[in-house]
Amino acid sequence: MPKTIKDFTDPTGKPNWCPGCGNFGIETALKQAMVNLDLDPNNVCLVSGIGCGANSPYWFSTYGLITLHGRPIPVATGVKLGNHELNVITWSGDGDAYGIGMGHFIHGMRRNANLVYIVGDNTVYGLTKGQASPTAKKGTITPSTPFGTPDPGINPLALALSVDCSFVARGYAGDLPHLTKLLEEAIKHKGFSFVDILQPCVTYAKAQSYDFYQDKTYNLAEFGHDVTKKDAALKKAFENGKKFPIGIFYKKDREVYEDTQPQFAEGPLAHQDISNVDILPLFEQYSF
Amino acid sequence: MIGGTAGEGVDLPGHLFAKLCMHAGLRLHGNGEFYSVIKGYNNIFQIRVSENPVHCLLNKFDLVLALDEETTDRYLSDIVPGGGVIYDPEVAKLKKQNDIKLFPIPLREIAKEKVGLDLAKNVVGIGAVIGLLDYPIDILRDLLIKTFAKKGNEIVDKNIAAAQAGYDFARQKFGRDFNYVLKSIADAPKTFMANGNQVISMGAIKAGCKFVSEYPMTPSSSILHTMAKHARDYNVSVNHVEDELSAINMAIGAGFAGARSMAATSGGGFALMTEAVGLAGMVEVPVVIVEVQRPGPSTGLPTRSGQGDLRQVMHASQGDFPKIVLSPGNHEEAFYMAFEAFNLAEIYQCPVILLTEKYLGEGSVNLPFLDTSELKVNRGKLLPDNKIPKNFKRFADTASGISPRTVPGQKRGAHTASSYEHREDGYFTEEIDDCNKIHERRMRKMETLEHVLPPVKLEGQKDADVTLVCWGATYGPAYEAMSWLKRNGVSANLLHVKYLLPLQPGIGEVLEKTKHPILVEGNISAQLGGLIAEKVGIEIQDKVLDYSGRPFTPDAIAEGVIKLIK
Ligand SMILES: Cc1ncc(C[n+]2csc(CCOP(=O)(O)OP(=O)(O)O)c2C)c(N)n1
Ligand code: SF4
Ligand SMILES: [Mg+2]
Repeated sequence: MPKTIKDFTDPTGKPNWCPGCGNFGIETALKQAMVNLDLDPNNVCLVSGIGCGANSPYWFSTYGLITLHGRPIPVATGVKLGNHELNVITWSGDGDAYGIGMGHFIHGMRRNANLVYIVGDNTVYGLTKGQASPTAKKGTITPSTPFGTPDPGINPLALALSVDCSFVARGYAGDLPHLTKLLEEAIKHKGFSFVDILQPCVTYAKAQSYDFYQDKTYNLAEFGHDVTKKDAALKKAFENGKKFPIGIFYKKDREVYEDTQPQFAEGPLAHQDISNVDILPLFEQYSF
Repeated sequence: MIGGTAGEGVDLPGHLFAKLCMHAGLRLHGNGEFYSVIKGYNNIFQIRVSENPVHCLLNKFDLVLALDEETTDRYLSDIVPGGGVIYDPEVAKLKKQNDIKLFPIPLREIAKEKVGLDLAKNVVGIGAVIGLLDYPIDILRDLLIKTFAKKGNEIVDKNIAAAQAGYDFARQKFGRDFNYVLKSIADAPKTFMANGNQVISMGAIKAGCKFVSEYPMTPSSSILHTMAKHARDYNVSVNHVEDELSAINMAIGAGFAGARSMAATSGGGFALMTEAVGLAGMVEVPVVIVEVQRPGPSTGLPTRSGQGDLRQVMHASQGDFPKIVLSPGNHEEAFYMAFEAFNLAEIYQCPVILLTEKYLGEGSVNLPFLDTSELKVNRGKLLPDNKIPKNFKRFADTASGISPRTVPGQKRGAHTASSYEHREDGYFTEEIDDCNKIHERRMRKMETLEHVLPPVKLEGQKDADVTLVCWGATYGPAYEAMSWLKRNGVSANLLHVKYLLPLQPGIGEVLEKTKHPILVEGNISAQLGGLIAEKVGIEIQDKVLDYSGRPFTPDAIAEGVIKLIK
């Protein structure tokens, strides 16, 4: 029987996001992508940080791990390396990813383990009541920056391109069909698939609303963008502000981290027999 | 002891000498004392050998090989009567000594002449040592071949020539003028040589550790190096990652996936890991953390030893949650404890911290091949696929506090493990009853463990004048201090605490019966003393504390004790 969204939904409770929050769109698109790819919920591990969006694992029927603010990438990498047959999907907010977790973001992309990294980019710290996130434009007024943010926002896509991330994409939580397809591509891609998602926060980032994004987003694929060209991707990444191109910016076949270690060839580490490891050869090696 | 300026290579002759002693069937203990710089300061490498197991080092030397002047300046007075010093007259000018033998050998000149390389003077030196000690040079030659085989014939030949020249010079000039000989013991058991970090790595491999993530930090780095070296032979994924935050969180991820995992670091790196220690406690994921202590605070003394992190690891992370801290007394125990740490982590589903110190971690010994026949991997309540019930609750309330566990990939086992407080099914909650229940259930795991921990053992004679109380690798020097004290007319026994959290049972019972307990610790605040006062209600007044960063020695402990009782 073909799966439906219900198969990926935990019936225990319903998401407690503000009505209209962009996270609903991401949740639905992600579940639909899993349906379309016919994934096995038992074989999916959704790892998140701390934030509004990062509560999502509660509402998935898959395995889930809600970690610490800023740390989902290393945890997800560990899960993936512990059992590389799992589909590991990581979900952060923009504070999680580009603030407290920035180091892991960069190194995660360098490492290129085969996992998906979704970032809900709402330009604020939603969960802690609306302070500016690293993607907020210079001058944004929030409770922590009553006189406007003093520093310019960062450009996550350009950053990703600069470390040769093997899959760089942007989605929009208000365009479900496109986001679903994009997440399918991200899951299918072998490597670190980074998807920054424009995610309206209807409570704290009223300027970045659905109305704001609706006519500023456009689908790269419809404009003949070549995903193998990094300089073209970079140009598009800097188009921020007036227009927001969405879709895959850049995609490349790069050796994935797991393939650098033959240790994984004998099956997932978690399944390897550890009942009686023979240590004698080591003693021998350390004798005269 | 071999001393030289950093960059002159005191490691190599130290290593060679240790191997020769091993070959002779002797037991040894070796340790390097280094400045935390790569070049320019005086470094020493000491080796103590005996027919019997060597518990620790001494700061008295029988033979010194001095590659620089600072070595003779600093350590001449530490040579025992009848002992000797090999030195280069070009580097140090020594006056005739009454009770120690001088062996001036132009180490550099010989090196230059024989192999055209000043740096080979350390190998000339070790050749001279072997000559003075009347040990067969062939064995050194074989060892050099083994050591340098990978670097090609030319290097092997040069090293052999240097060693031979040193040997010949010593034999011709000094004959049998030294009272010591290095003799082989017949039928000695085969031994292997390793430092504490290597022994812990072996214990981890034996325990089925499949995942290591680490960021280098002295003096823990050789765990990373050792695990990396053997990673492919034993199918362990070993990862040098971007920082300690990543290291511990990655290890937790791998643990969640069902692979036994480990992160190793020193005090500063552990401080960075702190938040995630709580994560492991909250999501009940097994993970082993090795903390190899060096003296703090902050960057402190990077290449020295200390025991100042007990409180840091015990109290790491906000809130109360189960966490286990154990600390081995010596290398052999370190192997078994490393193995045990992985079992404990899986049985109790919590972080386990193996707390050691530079003295153990980087100090080397040789040991007869360890018996592993009794070691059994215990994965606790990890459910096999066919035992997962229909309404599986990952955080189920149980009498022992330990809940059944599943890992991703298992059917019917799916759940969300969250760093937020949660219910038995994993879903978040802030209801008072739910929160209290799960909090109490988690802490109950500690009680369950306390009931099965072996009580402390008093070592040495029963009724003694003093009882030394220590933890970690202070054990070795404290153990030997008993015989030093005896020679000074003081009877002593020893209480070594191996499990620090939860605190090993039986301490009160032992202390109540002792006449005069004395704490011996490598920190300034007597951290174990405070713990015993808090948990056992006995305040140990007298203390021998050393926070110099240098290892304890038995004579110094005995001296400290005697001062306290006089
Ligand atoms: C170490 C640490 N510092 C601070 C916090 C408080 N905190 C929780 S979520 C958050 C920011 C969330 O913002 P973002 O990641 O953008 O997620 P959003 O809520 O917008 O989805 C902060 C600062 C924390 N949980 N942990
Ligand atoms: S605060 Fe913003 S991001 Fe958080 S749930 Fe509400 S709308 Fe969504
Ligand atoms: Mg945000």
